[in-house]
Amino acid sequence: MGSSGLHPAAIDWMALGPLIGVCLTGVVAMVLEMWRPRMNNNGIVGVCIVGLLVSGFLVIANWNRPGGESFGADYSEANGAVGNLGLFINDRLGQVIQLLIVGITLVTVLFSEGYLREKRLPFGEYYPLVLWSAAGGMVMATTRDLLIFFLGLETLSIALYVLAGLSSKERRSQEAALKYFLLGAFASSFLLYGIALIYGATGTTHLSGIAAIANTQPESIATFSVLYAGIGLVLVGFAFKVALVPFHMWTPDVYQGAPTSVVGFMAAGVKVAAFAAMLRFIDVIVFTSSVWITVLAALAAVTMTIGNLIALAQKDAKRILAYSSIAHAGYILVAVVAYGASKSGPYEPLGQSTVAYYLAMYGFMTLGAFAVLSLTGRDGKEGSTLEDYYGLYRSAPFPAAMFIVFMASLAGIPLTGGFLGKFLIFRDALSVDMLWLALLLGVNSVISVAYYLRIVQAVCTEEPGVVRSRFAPVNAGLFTACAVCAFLLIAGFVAADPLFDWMGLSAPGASVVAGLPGR
Amino acid sequence: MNPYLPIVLLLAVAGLVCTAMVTLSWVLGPKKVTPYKQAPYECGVAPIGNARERFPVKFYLVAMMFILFDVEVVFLWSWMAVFKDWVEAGSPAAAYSFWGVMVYMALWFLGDAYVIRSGALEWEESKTLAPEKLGPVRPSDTEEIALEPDLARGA
Amino acid sequence: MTTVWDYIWIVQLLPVAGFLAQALFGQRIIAMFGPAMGRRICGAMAVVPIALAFVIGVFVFYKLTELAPDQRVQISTWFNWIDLQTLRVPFELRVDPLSLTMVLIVTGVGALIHLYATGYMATDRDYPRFFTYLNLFIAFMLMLVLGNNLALVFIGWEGVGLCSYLLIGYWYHDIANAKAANKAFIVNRIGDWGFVLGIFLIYVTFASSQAIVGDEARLLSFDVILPLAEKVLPTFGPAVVAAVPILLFIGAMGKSAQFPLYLWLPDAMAGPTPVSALIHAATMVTAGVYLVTRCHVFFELSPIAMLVVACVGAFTAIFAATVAFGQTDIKKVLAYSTVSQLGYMFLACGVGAFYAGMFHVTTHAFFKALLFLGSGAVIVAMAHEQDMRRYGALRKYLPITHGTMLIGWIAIAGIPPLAGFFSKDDILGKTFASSHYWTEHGWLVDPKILYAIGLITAFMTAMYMTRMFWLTFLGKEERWRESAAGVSDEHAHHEAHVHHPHAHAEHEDTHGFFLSDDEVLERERAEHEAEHHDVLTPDHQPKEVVPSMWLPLVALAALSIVGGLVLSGGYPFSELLHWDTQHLFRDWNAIAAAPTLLPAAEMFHADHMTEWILIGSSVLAAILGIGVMAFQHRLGIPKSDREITGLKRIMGAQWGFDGAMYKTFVDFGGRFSQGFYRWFDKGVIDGLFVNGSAWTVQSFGKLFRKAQTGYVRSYALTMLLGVVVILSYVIWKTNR
Repeated sequence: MGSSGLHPAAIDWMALGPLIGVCLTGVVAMVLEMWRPRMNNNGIVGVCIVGLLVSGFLVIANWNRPGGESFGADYSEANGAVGNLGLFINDRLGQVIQLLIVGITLVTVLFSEGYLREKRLPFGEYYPLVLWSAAGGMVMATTRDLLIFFLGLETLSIALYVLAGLSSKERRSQEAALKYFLLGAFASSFLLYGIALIYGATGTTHLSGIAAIANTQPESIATFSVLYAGIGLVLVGFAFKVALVPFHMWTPDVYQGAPTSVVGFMAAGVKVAAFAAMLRFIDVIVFTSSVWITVLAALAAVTMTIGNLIALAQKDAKRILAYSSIAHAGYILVAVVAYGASKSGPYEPLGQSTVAYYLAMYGFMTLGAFAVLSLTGRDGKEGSTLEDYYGLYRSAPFPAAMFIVFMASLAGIPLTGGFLGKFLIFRDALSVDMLWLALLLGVNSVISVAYYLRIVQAVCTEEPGVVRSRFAPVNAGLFTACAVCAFLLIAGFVAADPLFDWMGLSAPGASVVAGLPGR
Repeated sequence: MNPYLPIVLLLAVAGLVCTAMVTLSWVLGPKKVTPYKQAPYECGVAPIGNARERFPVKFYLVAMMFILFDVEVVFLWSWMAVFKDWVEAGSPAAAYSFWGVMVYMALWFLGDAYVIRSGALEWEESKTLAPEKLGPVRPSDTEEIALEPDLARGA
Repeated sequence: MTTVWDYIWIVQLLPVAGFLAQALFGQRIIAMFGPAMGRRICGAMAVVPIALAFVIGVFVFYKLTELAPDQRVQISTWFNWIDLQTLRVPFELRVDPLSLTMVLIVTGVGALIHLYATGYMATDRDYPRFFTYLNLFIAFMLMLVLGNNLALVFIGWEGVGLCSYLLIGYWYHDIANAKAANKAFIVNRIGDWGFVLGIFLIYVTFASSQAIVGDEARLLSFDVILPLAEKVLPTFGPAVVAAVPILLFIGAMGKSAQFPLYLWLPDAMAGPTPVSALIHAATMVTAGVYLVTRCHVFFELSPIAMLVVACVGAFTAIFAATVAFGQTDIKKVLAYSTVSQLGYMFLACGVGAFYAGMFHVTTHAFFKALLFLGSGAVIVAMAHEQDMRRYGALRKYLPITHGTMLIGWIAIAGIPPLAGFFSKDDILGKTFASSHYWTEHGWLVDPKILYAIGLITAFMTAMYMTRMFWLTFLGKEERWRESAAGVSDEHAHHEAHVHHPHAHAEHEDTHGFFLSDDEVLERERAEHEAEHHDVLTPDHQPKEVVPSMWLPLVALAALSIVGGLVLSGGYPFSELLHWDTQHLFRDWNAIAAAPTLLPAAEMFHADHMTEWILIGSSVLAAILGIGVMAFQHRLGIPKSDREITGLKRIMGAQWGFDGAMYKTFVDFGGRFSQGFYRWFDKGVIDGLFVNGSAWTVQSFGKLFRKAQTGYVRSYALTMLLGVVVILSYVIWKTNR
């Protein structure tokens, strides 16, 4: 190791700003809690909001700075493969996903405090844990090194394991935490083993290094089973995190048991981070696409179908949304598959914009839905069966109305971002000649409307003589959270074109809804 | 002939002999089962109670924290090893990594302080939620408020 | 690169701002400042944006007139709303003489009516709600007239329909008002069906046409389609050429209450009177005329469409005029009069004199708003009694209302030099002289017949308006002092005929389309209970209305006097407005982006002598009409008005049309739909398709759910199996 081992000048502090901001906010929140444990959490929430807003601002400040890898350590130069391989990358996908995670965390923080107080568990540690989990997600989204990715994943996961068991007096919360932890550890081991195999096959854990080797020795690598197995195991790790069938079994139990605000964050934030990382991974493994596209397409098909079918048979709102999140993972995977196929096949290359857009819309619609569902938490108790939501429309009209927007978006009804997202995925699948997948997506969308409507129906049903006080009063944080989510969903539909321009992830020359059959 | 063949043969013979001895003694030996023989063997001491005993969760907490801080110290060790080289070579990385480790230490101390402050190391007491955390609690509204009669009727 | 034309966005957005302010803060302001002061503030918040929009509109208009006539089409684009490869719909407003004329009517007359409404609605419980709707209406109406593409026009079109619905049903506690609102909404859907199909047809034809140059995708924008219509449409054959304008005209028929879709307009009088004045007389109902004028190129391409427009217009004009004779409700008379005048406007469009139609839209907005507002003042003064038979000799109690209504009356009757004379005479003259056009295409309908219908309608208009005016203001009897005989008679009359088959038509007349006999009675009861706050007693002393109500009357009266004079050519004031020799209403064929397909000037040529004879005959018709009615009423209310009998009754019942429509569509249609619903919908669709497929899918769901055991070990096993399957496939695949 020479003297050039670590060089201050090689670090792009500005690019790391959002990440440091979120971590530091978590530290400050923890210090606050430690310093004044007998104060209520308003101060912590305030610090978190300010810190997240600053971090979000830092992301935007990075927006038009020249991209590139930051925090570079040229440790793999020894392999003679490529030049400066950084641990973090400052590119538009990373920025978009970081901004998204910051936004999701912000909304989570907004509606959490009221819920936690109703559930009688407003531990101050909640906020640092959420923030650090978000930081883990941001790391996952901005790194191109598999080991750093693993680091981010574990940071994200371990905080979530704790959060899932936050309501330690409830058996199902304990159960959720334990199941999540055990299965998560199981999946992490697959992932790590996969990374090890990839390292064994290529001599690097950096995606650029892998890509370089694939370029220089295409023949030998293409039939190297060890590498394939490694890729497969890494994909299994992804599949667990985003809950693809058959790695989805934990989802309903954990979603049902964990505190609702945690579930909202889990459903939105984790998926966003994991899919972003998956996109980067797919970007590199296109040279093996003949195998992987088939496998992923099959996974997507199975995931969509099974997720939707089981959701139909559920009677618990949180479980329904858990299966809905599984189904949505399938939809997003279709977009990822289409993206990968377009890069490897004889097609017009697609942009990353569809995935990013769908993740954004999905994140906010799910988070908003869980925010509204958290209203049943009251006086230390919480119910989540469909009957528990009867009459919500009357006691909390605004959140209930927003809930309908979220459900409409999840079901993919126009005027919401969910519709446009699904439409774009459909179009992407068609553009890579995956008609069967596109059709399956359409059929599944239709099926899904049934169970979304059931929740809406429950929210709007009124039983004679039903008590109103089952629901927590709506506070400003929840109100804002709902309004923000609904606004973003509708704005995402109405102002899709400027949004896509701003994200800048589209394939060059593509407009949002271009590519319809020409006149 | 493969030079490793003798080793393979040796391993095979060893395995075979071991298996044969255990199997044969099991097959040929007389079997007389008594409760005393069935009892678990604990270095000659008579077993006390069930082996599946519950430990207080504090035990795991302390164990976990030990591992945590232990690993953190290990990181310091590896840093010190290269730090010396860097200082001797006059590399800019020396000062740089020094401040990096300072930040790391600061976070570590913060974590330490948190552990102590939150009472994780106190064996007897367990931390409970401060009532102030709940904020202003609503006046007792646990009793059920019925809907207006017309609504109840109309639905 | 803001240009002066972008100011039109301020005009468009001001009512939106007013709407939002009113909707969000109206109730709070009233809660904060108390009922009286709060209402004053809310009223100001409602009036000021519209008035301001009018001022800016005038400014933009002035700027537009400074341009050369052939440049007076300016488009201001805000952003791209829909952007597909094959269709781009920008948010763009069109500034040209036609749209600005409508803007000035909408904001000018609208501001006056808003002002009036602050007085009229002063005691209403839901004061801010009323102005919320009213401001929203102005916003949508401006979108309708300013939008430069059919999509924006359609937004405005549906938006004004929505506001009309909301305002007709404004006093929704009365079920009859809600039903009237429903009727308006449903009947308008028929028209909208045509309009939407028309838009689709236009898009389809233009999208598949080779005439579009480059990658122009704004296939709904007027500045793209109007100039090319002549090239594009004929390539699709005569059927498409005729279908486009006729579909658009069906839309116009719904909105502008033309026969047979006029049915909703008389019922729409259930709304508050300012609403009747603004929406159902001055602005919204003229949207159809505006649409036809805007799309005149499509109409000019198809002689058959022109014929349809002219005939429907002429028939509606005379039909509604006859119906007006049988009405006793002052607002109903004005409603049928509106339908009749709208018929005039379409007659003008049908003979190709689009500018004459728009001219009549303008003058009609003045005097009909005036008449409606005046009738509102009378209604307020007479304790919400609307039956003219209980009025009489009101001129001494309501001097200002009387004076202004007098002007409105002779204006609509067509006495020179008031506004109605000029526009009506223009229409009649053009109809008479349009022979050139008709003979050239060889159509069998002689425009002279249409002219005769128009002239008779003018005569009848003068008659029924005289009747209305006389019954209300003139005479010596103060009939509400006559021990309420008329009303109790009427009640007895109704009661007696409830089981009588002959009475059927009459019930349908007064109470519309969706009401059964029982509902009719209930409606009457409810009207007296809910809407008529107090009852007209024999010792009632009518009082002149407050200034905020009579000021708009005076302003509109002034407009009704000079409006026609100023806006028609050749008079001193017209030169002020049209600083060049170009005539405002004659030049938009030339300045619209498309050149007119009809010979504009020569087409209506008539010699001087004929012109004077035509003018003379229309004036004569007006004077005769007034004279006949005055003679009949010289001794007080005629017998045929005390109890509506004979011909008047048949006329008042719309010749049985409303009843027949009710029987056909509501009674029979309802039964048909019920049967179809039971057999097909319940049985086949619900049973077989919906529930059957749902059942299948549900069963699969239940099956898969069994895998979810709840044990971590089985979850882990599933994961492991997944890994094994995936890796086996991959390794098999790579080593094959």
